[in-house]
Amino acid sequence: MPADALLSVRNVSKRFGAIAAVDDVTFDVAEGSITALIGPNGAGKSTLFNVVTGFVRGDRGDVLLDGESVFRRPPHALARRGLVRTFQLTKALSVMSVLDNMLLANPRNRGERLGLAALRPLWRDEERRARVRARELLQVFGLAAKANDYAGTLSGGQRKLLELARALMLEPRVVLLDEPLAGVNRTLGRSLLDHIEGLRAERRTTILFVEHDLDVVMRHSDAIVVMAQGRVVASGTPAEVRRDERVISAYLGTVTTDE
Amino acid sequence: MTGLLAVSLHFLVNGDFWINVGVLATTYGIFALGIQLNVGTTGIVNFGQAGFMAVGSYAMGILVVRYEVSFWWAMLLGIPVAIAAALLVGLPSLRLRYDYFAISTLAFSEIVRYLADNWDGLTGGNLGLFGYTDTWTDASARIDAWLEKIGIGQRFLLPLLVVNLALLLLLTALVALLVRSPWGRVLNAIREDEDAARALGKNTFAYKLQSLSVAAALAAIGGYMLAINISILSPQNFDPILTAYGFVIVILGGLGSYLGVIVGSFFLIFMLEATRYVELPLSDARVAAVRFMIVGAVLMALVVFRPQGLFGKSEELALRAR
Repeated sequence: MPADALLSVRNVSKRFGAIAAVDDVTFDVAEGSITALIGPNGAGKSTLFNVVTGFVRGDRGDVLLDGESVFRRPPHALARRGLVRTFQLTKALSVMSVLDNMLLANPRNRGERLGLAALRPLWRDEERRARVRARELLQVFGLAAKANDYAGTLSGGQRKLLELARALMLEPRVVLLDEPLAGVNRTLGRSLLDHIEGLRAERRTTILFVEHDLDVVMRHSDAIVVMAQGRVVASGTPAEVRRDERVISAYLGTVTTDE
Repeated sequence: MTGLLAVSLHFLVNGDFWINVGVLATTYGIFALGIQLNVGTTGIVNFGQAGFMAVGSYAMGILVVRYEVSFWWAMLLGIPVAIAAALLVGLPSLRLRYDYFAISTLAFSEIVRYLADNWDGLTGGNLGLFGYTDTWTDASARIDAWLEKIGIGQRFLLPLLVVNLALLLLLTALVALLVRSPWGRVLNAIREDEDAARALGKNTFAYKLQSLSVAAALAAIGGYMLAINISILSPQNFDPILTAYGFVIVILGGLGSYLGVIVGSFFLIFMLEATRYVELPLSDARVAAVRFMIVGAVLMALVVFRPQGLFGKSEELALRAR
């Protein structure tokens, strides 16, 4: 494992019945990098995301976060260690206010314990601090005016922004974005990409994202991992991947594996 | 037509009628408070609330009658027993999808009822369990004397109503306070989207267990009220229909509304009791059936014309329907 790898996927496999959804996948995500995970539909990208984030139990392999194994740890434990994800289909908590969506993600509120919840003075200050932080983030993401609206009233693009802003409340080290631009119009998409680049620049947050728009991937990522039929078929910088024959054939649908 | 369906309204000025409605409504209200927490706030479908009520009240009754534990201690101990039952049901089944969980709780509730029916040595079987009310009778007399002093006078069941009402208001306020806390925010998030809550670092399984445990504790307290009111515990008091009434209260009052639980329980019990006074030129058995038809028709009308319930928010309903 290279010294600068923050997230390391090692020989991870996951089968669903006879189908090897993820088949012996290995790659690294360098600290502070924006790494893209691409591949045709059914390549296993989403399953890999689910295994890495604990939503699906992997069969074999290992996942290292900053050198420590986090393989098969439950999602909430991973989130608390700084590995936070978003979903392909946005999961805005509709019948909660935008602000409550943000406050929910605060990782250190004692008021979330049943025994202390009724004792407001014990958690009021932390709640106040979280609210300041949440409003700052909403400001950055252009959602400040919506703070008290139900999240369900936001447009599709705004929900994507909220999901990213909400993830940041956890102060993550790695953010995994599952198709952050799907269903988002160009303007909002550009603003999302700016935010993602800003994150890396300002907080050195590491980003791993799945995306289908190759234009975006080539322009905005430092490294690309290409998957097809559950396996990694290529990886490298955008320039390297662009020239790779295997990538082209994977996208044309005639996969030629090494064996 | 008026002669055919006559309702004598004299019962409305009868104090005993209202005391009876109040005692039942407060009992059902506390019972339904737990269902509201589970279904309206957390989004877990608990069909076993009657079972938790049975566990709590039988635990109290058995401790007093069979083990000579004091009434007050027995009530205190019945709550952890009900919570233990919630953990027993929740630990294996709360990881399942919500519909499997719902069936598991219903099955649990029926298992408890059959156990109570057949474990004669412990529960008294279908003859019932009695003899746990002595301490309450003394306390009741003291409350009566106090009511006399402040000029309200003595009435059958009035002391129980006073205690029940105080408890209902206190517990509703407590649960509403919990629901408005960060703890309650996590429960709301679980209802909205459990995976999102997990992705944001919440151990949703633990929260669902807590929600179910609090509901079971409330069921136990409601169970004590029932046990005191009927002074004999029998398995048929804990029929699953009881849980269904709890759901009716929650839907009537509005999903997620705790004021709605109080109003909904009084509304439902008033309906159920008032329709006893409907006079029809029919046999008693048929009148009993017509009674439920009337209640059913009113409930249907409410759901049609006010689907969000009395205190539910229509905009929330619209967001859910998306």
